[in-house]
Amino acid sequence: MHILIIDDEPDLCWALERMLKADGVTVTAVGSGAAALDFVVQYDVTIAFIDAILPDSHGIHLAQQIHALSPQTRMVMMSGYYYEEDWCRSHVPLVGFLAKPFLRTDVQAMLQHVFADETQQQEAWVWHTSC
Amino acid sequence: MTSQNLPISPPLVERTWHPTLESLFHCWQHFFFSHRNPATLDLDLLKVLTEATQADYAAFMQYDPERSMLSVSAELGVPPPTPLSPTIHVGAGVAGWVAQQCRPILFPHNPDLPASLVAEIEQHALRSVLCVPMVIGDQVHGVLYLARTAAIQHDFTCDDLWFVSLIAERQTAALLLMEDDIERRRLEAQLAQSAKIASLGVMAGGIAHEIRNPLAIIAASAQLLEDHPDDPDLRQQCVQKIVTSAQRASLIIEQLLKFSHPPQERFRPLNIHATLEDTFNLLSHQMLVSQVTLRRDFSPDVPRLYGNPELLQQVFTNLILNACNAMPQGGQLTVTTRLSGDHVELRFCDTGHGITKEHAAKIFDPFFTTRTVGKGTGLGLSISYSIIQQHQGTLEVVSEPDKGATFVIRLPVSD
Repeated sequence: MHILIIDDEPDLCWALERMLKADGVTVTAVGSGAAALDFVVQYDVTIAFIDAILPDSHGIHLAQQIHALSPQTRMVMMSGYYYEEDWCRSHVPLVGFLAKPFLRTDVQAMLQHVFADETQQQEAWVWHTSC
Repeated sequence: MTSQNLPISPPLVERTWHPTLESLFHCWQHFFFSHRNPATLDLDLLKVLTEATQADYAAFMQYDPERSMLSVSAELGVPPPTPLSPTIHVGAGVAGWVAQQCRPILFPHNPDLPASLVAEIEQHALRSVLCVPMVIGDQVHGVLYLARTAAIQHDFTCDDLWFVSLIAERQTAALLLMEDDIERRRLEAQLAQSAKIASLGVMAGGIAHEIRNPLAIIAASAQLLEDHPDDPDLRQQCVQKIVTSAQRASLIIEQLLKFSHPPQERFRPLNIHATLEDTFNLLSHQMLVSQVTLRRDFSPDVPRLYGNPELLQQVFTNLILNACNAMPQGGQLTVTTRLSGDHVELRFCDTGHGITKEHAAKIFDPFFTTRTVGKGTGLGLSISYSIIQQHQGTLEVVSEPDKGATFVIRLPVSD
């Protein structure tokens, strides 16, 4: 399984990478929308954690592009700026939303949710976080 | 110090020059309108008066209507051997009598002076006293008190009285105008402060993003520390990231507090590039949220300017927030600085939707806004305009719809 983190904060990528790392899981972090698009074309990404505000792109726009290139990739939006309600109106197939700052339990619950949801891939909904 | 140690001024001879009232008045007018320092205004006025009337002691006593008292706010020359009391009640003593009666005293020429006042003047060992009320309508503002000690051979004349009365009246009127001006400036400053606080609301989204990122790093690192207590390398990395992120969040808050604090009133020499950089730092997250890239085109020839960096930062903030607002899909903001003759020119050029001719005519009017209610006060540009005017500069806009807008600030280079 391959997880991609897209965030322009290297320290946040570093911490999230360590939280997500497990046996059989490869985690890669990139700092821009362009690098993320390059990556999804080359690799089979299972889950992408996308920061809502990137220097070269907007999270929603990037999610649409990733979905077009790699429809099987499940996407989780992360933001300290937007709220989950903001994503309900967007027609982007996101499986969850992580509000910054998040707890490890939020991240783990999000992963469980993504896999539990595997069978109903087409139905996108928003995950509630605890902080 | 005993009285023997006091410096003794040489006795003045009767003046040999005979200025006309007109020439004296002209001299005062020149003094008042060229006077730039309110802190020394009273004292400088006394200098003009003592020189013109050859008084060897002069005091300006201000009236406090709440306490019905007069108090010396400036004095000049050799004080009388028995000094005057620094504060007196209206009605008491020479100055108190003048304030109460709204009549001048010219001693020893006044035939109807109460005996108690004559006794007071003699007690102070003064040869001649000229005391004039500063009155507008029936409102007393203060008293001018001039004296010649016994060392001088001549008394004040009626000409001296006319001159001092004229100055007292003019000075009172001018001071009242100045008070109005101070009040107007105070209200303007209050309005500018409110608009600045309102612009913080516009910046809130960017601030949230900027503070929550380091908070997210802190929260995640702390949990990693908890999960891996036995990994010294990871431990060190986590601690370092927590400290760095806490400092970063704190810096953002510091910048915000500095921005929201009322500006100092002082104008001082400043480096305009440093003021611009401070503003860019404050708004970098806002520009990131709006997907606006910043391009600097700074000229190294730009000299230091004389101004108020806090106020100028408010102007730059308004221009940058407006530019972000004009580029909802993102774009580029180019900030250019150039030395052009005896002015420094700053240009804020965006690639946004531009401004129509009709809007351009009203753009600096207070409360003019194209934003929806709650999204903008319509004060930013009018306040920026007034701040640049205070700096003896100009603020203009050049724009065509769909071709972006350029705001041009010209500030004079100080001597």
